[in-house]
Amino acid sequence: MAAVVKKKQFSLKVLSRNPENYKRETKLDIHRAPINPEGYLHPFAIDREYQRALNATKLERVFAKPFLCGLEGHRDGIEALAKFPTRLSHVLSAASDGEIRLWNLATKRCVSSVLAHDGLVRGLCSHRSGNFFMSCGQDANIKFWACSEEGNITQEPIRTILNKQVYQGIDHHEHEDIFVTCGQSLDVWAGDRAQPFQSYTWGLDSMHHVKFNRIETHLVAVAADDRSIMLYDTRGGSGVQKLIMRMRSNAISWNPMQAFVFTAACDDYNLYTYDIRNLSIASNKHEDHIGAVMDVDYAPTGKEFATAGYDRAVRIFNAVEGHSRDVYTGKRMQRVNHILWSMDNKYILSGSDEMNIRLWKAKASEKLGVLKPRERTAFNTAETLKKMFKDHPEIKRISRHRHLPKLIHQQKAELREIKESQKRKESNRRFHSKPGSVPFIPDRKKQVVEVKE
Amino acid sequence: MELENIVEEAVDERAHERLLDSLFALDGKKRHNVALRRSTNFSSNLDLVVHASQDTAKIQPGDLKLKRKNASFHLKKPLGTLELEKTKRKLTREALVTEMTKWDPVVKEMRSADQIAYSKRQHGIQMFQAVQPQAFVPRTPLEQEIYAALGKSQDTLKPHQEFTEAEARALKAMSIKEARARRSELMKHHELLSRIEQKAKRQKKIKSKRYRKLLKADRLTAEKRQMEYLQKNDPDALHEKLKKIHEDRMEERLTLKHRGGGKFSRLHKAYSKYDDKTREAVQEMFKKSRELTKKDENISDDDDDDDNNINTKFDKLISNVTGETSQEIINHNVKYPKIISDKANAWLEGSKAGNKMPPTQILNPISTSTEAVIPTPLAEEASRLPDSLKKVNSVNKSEQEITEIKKQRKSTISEPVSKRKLEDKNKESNADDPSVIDEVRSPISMDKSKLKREKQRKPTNTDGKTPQSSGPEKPVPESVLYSHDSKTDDSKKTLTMEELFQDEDVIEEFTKEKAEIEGRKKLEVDLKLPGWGTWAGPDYKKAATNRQKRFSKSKRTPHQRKPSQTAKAPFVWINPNRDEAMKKLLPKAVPFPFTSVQQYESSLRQPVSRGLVPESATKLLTKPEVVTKLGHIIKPILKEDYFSKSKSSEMDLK
Repeated sequence: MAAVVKKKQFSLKVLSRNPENYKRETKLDIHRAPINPEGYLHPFAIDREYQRALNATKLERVFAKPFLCGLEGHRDGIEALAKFPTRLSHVLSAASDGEIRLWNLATKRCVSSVLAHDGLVRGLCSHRSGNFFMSCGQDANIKFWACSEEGNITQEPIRTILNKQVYQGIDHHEHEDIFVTCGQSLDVWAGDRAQPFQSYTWGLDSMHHVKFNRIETHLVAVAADDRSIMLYDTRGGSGVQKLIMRMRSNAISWNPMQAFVFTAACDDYNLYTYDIRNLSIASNKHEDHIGAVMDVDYAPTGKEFATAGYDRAVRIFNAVEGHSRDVYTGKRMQRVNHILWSMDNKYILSGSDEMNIRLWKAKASEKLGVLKPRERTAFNTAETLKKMFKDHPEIKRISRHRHLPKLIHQQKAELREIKESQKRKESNRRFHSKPGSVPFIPDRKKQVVEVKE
Repeated sequence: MELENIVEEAVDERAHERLLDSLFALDGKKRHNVALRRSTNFSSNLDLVVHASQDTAKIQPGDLKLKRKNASFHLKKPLGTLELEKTKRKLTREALVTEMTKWDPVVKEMRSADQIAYSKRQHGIQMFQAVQPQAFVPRTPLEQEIYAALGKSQDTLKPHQEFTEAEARALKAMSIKEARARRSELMKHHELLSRIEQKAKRQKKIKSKRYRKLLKADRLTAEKRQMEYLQKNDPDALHEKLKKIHEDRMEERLTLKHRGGGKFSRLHKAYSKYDDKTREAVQEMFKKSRELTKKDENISDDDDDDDNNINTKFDKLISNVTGETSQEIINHNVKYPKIISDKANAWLEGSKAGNKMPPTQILNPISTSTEAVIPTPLAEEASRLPDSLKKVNSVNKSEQEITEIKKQRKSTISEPVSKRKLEDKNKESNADDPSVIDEVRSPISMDKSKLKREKQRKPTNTDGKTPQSSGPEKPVPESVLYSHDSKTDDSKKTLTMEELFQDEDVIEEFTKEKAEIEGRKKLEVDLKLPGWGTWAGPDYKKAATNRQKRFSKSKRTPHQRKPSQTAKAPFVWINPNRDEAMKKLLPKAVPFPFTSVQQYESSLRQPVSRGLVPESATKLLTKPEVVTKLGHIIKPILKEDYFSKSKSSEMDLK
């Protein structure tokens, strides 16, 4: 009679979610927006990314305002710039009237100044400790100056070396208490001695620029007036190699991350990067300037370098690329003679003929200051996207476009024409002469006249 | 003895030299003199001496050879300074090259690294004493005045203080228990106040248009409710209120609002030539301005406080605000179906009578009815309506927009086909049938795009379902809307659709068009001179055909479908120029590091943005190449970090 009621086996499904997945941590946080990254849910992912890349590129150009400020105060053209290895905010500058100024970049003010030499200041460099700096001038003196933590320069030099010859360049060793000067000879000075302990000459022409290698610190590169670049080894007490080029190189900068690489700023509007193991051919030729390149300085990362041009422009090159990634010009900026890349890889300083030092951002559109994590993520994504789609014509066009002064624009076109015609002429000559009689010489080799050993 | 011997040897040597010279002179040759640097060791000639002593009388030339052998014992002449320097440099250079080559792996690693962080310094937290901000000091006269007024008051709550001065004093005066209770009460009060303050601040910042609209609607509702209440209970207050509203309106009329001199109108006027929507917006603005600037006669000449009069005024005011009379609002739910039918009728009448009435007049009641649904006090009632009725609202709106647009484009329907269709339709079904709206609309859209119509028609043939299309024209099945009073079936609907198109052979038309377009495509313009390429003469057929083949082959773009592909689907025509605009945006050649198109494409295939890939993946994929810390000095790399001293000395030994 009585029906047997079977106990039903059943399972009850209940929605149970971890509040962590949908709740904010604090009420000041933004709301959690659940996102499903499954590929099939985003069929237009790449199209959207392209659009994002395009927008990011446009925004980059919108925000590209590299000029920060001009440091005014010198009463004559800038002759030299120098940075401290231990201080970020202090920078030294010397002018043609013999005045040396110390600037604070944070406040954009001149902290102190001193009338250092009679006549031009030819060279300026700071001591490795960061508490001293030295200068050499037209009055044939080398002077040592002390500067306090706040940047106050002593009004009298703490040491003066009197010489018979005028030194045109000076540079300090990275680790030891050694410095080199160049003029009629390359002299190596150590400690407190009043005489150089090594002196080199190779040929009769005077040398105008000297730089210590910053990794293999015993190596010195010198640029001389006979269109040559010489390498010396202070350990062995002898020269290494002498490279003679078609035109004079005005400045040299060693790569701070690659021991055997240096870049020379040449009078023929180009820069040449050399591997010192093989000077017979440049490892890269950097062109874009339309005037002599006066100075070059590597970024501390070794990935880029900035150049100062006689064409009134500052250019920034990627170290492994042949053309500049950016160009900075100012309406009233005259011929740029000196350039510095700050030690934190953020700023560039340029000293030009019209007595001004200009402070630029190294990345034109970079946001200065502290980034919030979300901001940083957004910037990183934008950068990646820009890199990913950089070869798409529209994006390429926007990112490459620069509004240049008329002079540079016209000169550039003219130079392009000249180059084309030269190329055409060479190919014509090759075509009309006996095969093999007109050899192919790579552009990177054309400037080399001779490598003396 | 020994000394003597040495001298003798030296003399001997000189004699020997002379001898050699004379011997070479016999030959007539000049002796090649090798410059030798002698070592001080004189025993070098001992051999010769021994040999010579053996043959006492004569010196044989054979003995002299020994001397030659001994020449290796002499040192070479010292190098000149130039050569010496050269050798030195060579040695240095060789050493340098080996030394520099050691850096190769380091440089290579750096160049190929995805990411390089240039900061050795650890991130440290420095503890600073919290700097207290300076207390506010009033400086300007106004500030001082305000400070004097507020600062003296004991009831103001200053920041970082729990209680006002008066409260603190009162608490002190009480017993502990009382004070505690009072304190907690006060705290609650303060908290509440601050919360309200914060809420108000937050709400003030909301920019959402929708929110503002809702807020406005709420306000209007409340106002209206209050009006109604006043009308019933307090006519005097109502009168005052109306006066106030009237004054406000006067004020608004005085201001330049809706005049058309603003930025909005200036901008939109420029665009109104090209954009219908903009034109409408501008028109609407003018309408509003006209409404506002129109002088209100009724209110000016009223003297008696008749209930009736007030009622009319009230209606007017509300209609000013909402664009609807109160009576309309009250009867809203009743009027719904009627409005629809009205609309349909009006439209039909208009179209029949060649549009005697201006379109705006016909549309007015409809527009008011649709717009005012939400803000009325009877929104609740509306919400009580079945869902289907609410849908009508949205449908009406979209339909109304469409009809408006179409009417503006051409007030009279010139298409004879659609007219004929309409008349047929009217004969068959009664005008109240809501399905008419849909069908009336479709013929108009038909002349715009035949392809679209084709698409709509196609599924009806196969599935027997109602046609569906996207966008604002999306027809909501009317059967759903009117399910509560009248039931219509789908089959009837599809039948009418078929009937609608029975006279036209649309498919035929389409295929004809398709063939025409495709034929046009095939006709290529040959820009060559007549006779160019037909070198064998015009009668030589083969060459010509060959050339044509080549020509047509090269011209076909990769995106173009083969004819067989489209032939399979006779109702489809694929536009071959579809991707033309896109092509401009694509790279022309494979960029540098990539070697093939596939490789390049695969590099673009991976999305990196947040939301398209998991968060962690985004982090990995968007790693910056260079990481620098703010304010950190980047020093050149240290040799000691890469080559330990012992290791380098080992290398030197080797």
